[in-house]
Amino acid sequence: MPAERSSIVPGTLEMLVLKTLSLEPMHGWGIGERIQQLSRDVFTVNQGTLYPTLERLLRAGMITPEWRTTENNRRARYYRITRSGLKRLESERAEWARSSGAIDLIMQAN
Amino acid sequence: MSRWDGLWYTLRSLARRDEADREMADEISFHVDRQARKHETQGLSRGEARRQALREFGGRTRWREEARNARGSGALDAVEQDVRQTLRGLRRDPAFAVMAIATLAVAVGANAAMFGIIDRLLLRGPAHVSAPDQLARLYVTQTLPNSRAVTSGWQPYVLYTSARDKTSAFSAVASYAPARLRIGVGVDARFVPVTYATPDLFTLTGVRPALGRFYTADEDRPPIGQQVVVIGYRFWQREYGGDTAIIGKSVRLGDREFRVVGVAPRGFTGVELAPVDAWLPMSARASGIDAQSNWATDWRGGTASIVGRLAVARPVAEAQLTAMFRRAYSGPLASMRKASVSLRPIAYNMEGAEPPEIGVARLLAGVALVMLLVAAANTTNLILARAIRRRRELSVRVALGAGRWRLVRLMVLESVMIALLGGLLGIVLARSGGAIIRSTLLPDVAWSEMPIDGRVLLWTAIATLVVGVVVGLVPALRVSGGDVASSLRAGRTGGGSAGNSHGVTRTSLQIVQLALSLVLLFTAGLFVRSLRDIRQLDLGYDRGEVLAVDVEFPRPDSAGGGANAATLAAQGRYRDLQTRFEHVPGVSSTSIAYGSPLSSVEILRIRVPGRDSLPQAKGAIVTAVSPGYFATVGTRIVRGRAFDAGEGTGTEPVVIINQAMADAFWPGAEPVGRCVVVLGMRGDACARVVGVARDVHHMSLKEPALPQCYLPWGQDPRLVDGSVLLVRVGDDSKHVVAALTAVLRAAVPGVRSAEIKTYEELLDPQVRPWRVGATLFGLFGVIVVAVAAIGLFSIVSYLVAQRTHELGVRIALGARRGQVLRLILGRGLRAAIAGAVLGSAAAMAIAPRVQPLLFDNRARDPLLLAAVATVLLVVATAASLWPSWRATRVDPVLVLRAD
Repeated sequence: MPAERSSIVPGTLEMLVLKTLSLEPMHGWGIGERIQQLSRDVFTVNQGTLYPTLERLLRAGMITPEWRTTENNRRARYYRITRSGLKRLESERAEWARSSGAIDLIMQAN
Repeated sequence: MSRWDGLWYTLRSLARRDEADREMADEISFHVDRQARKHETQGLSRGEARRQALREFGGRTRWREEARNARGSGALDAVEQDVRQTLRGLRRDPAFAVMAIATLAVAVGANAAMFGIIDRLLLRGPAHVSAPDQLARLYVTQTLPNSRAVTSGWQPYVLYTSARDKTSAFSAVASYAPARLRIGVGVDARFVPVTYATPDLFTLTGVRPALGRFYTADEDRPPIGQQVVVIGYRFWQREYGGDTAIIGKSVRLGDREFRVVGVAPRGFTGVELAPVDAWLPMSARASGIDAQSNWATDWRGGTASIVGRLAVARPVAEAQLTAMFRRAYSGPLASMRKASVSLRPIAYNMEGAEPPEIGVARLLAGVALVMLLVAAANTTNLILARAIRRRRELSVRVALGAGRWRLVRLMVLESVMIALLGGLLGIVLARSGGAIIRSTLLPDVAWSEMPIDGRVLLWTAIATLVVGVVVGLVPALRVSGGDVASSLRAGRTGGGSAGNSHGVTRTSLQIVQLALSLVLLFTAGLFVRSLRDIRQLDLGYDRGEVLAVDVEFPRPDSAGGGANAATLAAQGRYRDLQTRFEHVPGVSSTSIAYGSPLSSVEILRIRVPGRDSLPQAKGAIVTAVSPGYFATVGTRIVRGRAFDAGEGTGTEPVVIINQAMADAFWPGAEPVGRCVVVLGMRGDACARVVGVARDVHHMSLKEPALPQCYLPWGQDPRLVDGSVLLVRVGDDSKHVVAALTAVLRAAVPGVRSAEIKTYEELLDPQVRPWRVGATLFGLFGVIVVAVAAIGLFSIVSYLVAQRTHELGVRIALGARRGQVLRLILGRGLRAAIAGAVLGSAAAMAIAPRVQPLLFDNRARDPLLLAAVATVLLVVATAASLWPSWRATRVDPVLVLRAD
């Protein structure tokens, strides 16, 4: 299901979520906010894709859930990246660097 | 490692789906709250912020679905969702759902009920009998001098020992004889079913005792064995509350004490199906009835059944046994020296034929199976009609990308659910219906299991599932394969030519079904007519108003006075009871009779001076009656007079003969005043005929009138002990029975046993076959007609659904509603008429086979056939009327606009 405003490069959301969670455990809303914030508002995350992505990552064992209390004293589900998640993030990052470099090369050709 | 985490997560969320859903809901609400707060800080009002947050979140359910899919529990959810959707769909179309479920319920119910019966009757055999198909009953067929072949399963004991010792036909062989024995003494004494059996019956069947042991060959050694008994489980529970201390105790059966050595297991009935309360050694039978010492070696007569487990092939065994029989037979009958031995299934009756109940059960099972087939076809039609009505919805789904597989899945799911609901309801129906069929068709069978047992359930479940899948798959494949897509493109005219071959099959099946229901109803009608004929049959006596009181007196003391004194004492007891009965309110007259109709037959040799050359002049039914007999039972005296009060004991011997006898000996002449000699009575004295009574049915509804002599009761001392008291009552026989019972209870000396029955009740066992036929064929007939009606309804509905477009156009072009109605109704009626014609032909064709089952009336009864056909056509019209009427309501505007 494509994001409504195609705000995130397709196929990169998993990597972005993992990157965000590698900084600190976060709940779903916070992940979206953080991505938007880190991208300086270039990217907005569609919740319709965020949560299924989280489920997929959970299923793949990249992240684990835990219920915590927020600073405002509300219960929220936080996600923490696992060791295999970190490994995956590394490989994704390398892959991204490689392919984005390749795309740059193509785009700069004249 | 991580993969295991993931698997664990999936499993956990599957196992705790509700919890996972709740967690998800919490997460969503947290998310929305946070988002709303963010909007609020950016200046939106609280409500607006919340609305905005929700909007951004989008379709929450969709998100949930996708999250679930990701979670891996999607497949399960999809099934659950499909089930919900199907149920919703069925609830939206209740007429369809009710019809489909009801048809299948009736069909499945009939099948389950019949399977349970057939299973016990034919497949599994009696309980606790291992490999019943290896068992066989031994029959002897002899050709009588009049060249009639007679087959009998009643054999002498010596044939059993000969088969056991002189042939190798059986690996095990046993002999047994069912009987009734009295328990208790007096008016409340009851008779219980017992079986005398050689101990090898237990080894033959392979049964194990529930308690104690079975008796041994040493305890059953002719001529007189031990007084031991193995009691039946039911008897043990009923009489002794299942007390295990019963072993070694003594039980009084008849007039003898038997020591209990064991208890048979629950439901054990030997190789027959009727309940048995006690198993006694074969030798206990002889010592009780008559202690003649040579009963075990006497070839004359035969009063027991022989069953064996085949050791060799059946023809080989039969040849061996026949050869042995011809060598060993030393009885008086020449025809027996040439007799042959045959081995037949243990389910066969003593005449060596399959009992009619089995034939009826098999027939009904066949009908049930056809009904299931037809119900399946009906449901297919209903589903197809519905699918065509929903064609647009289905087409849109296809257009939206629902795969063909998914459509098929949905439709099959729907039909399987219908089948399951129908099956469930069918089981409920079979529970009560099966009990009715059992008690009607086979009242004497000891059913050890419930009408619905594991095997029936399994069979029903399989049948239901198969029907469910097939019934859904056929329309699903048709609708999903091309038809729908093309119908979407081509408007709503689809299903035309492609449907024709199916249409023919469907219609033929429908016609066959209508024909079948006609045959069943017609047969039921024949049986009902038989019942009516029997009710109207003039038996020669009244049946509703006459009570027969069968009493057994204590055996007279042989000490005093000899046979003569004993007879006088017995006469006194009967007379004494008769006098007391006369004073009971509601009793209009009484009589004492020996050998009276429906009680017993006594045939004595007679001589008619001057007529001895006649072939009939051999024997006659002889009935001894006290004065008032003819008035009491309602038999008319057509010539001469009835007996006077004084006649009988000391006076001149007199006799009343029946018309048949008068016609045989004195055709066209006056019989009154002639002489008849009953051999053995008063030194063969001449008895003067004083009257002629009309012929009666002595023992059976179907019997020719035989010569009969009535003697005054007491005139022949042989005809006293074993008499019955006959009591004529008004309308209220119930109260009289109670009063008579009270008299019997107070009688001194007490009676040993007593049984009071109306002639109607005595006749009842004979009427049963026709009542069974009328009940069961009527029941199945009505059910099949109902299923046929639903079938017709479904076919016409299908037709209407298929032609809605055409009908709309016709109406738009000016066809009147009446014309449309005729068009559609005509289709339904043509099938009905074809069914009626085919059914009538079938009914006529099978008439010769039904004829022997009927009482007097003809099986080819045009009036009855016409009546049944009319009923069928009326039902068919009613069934087609509703969908035809719906066809006239087709709105041309809607139809045309839809193009």
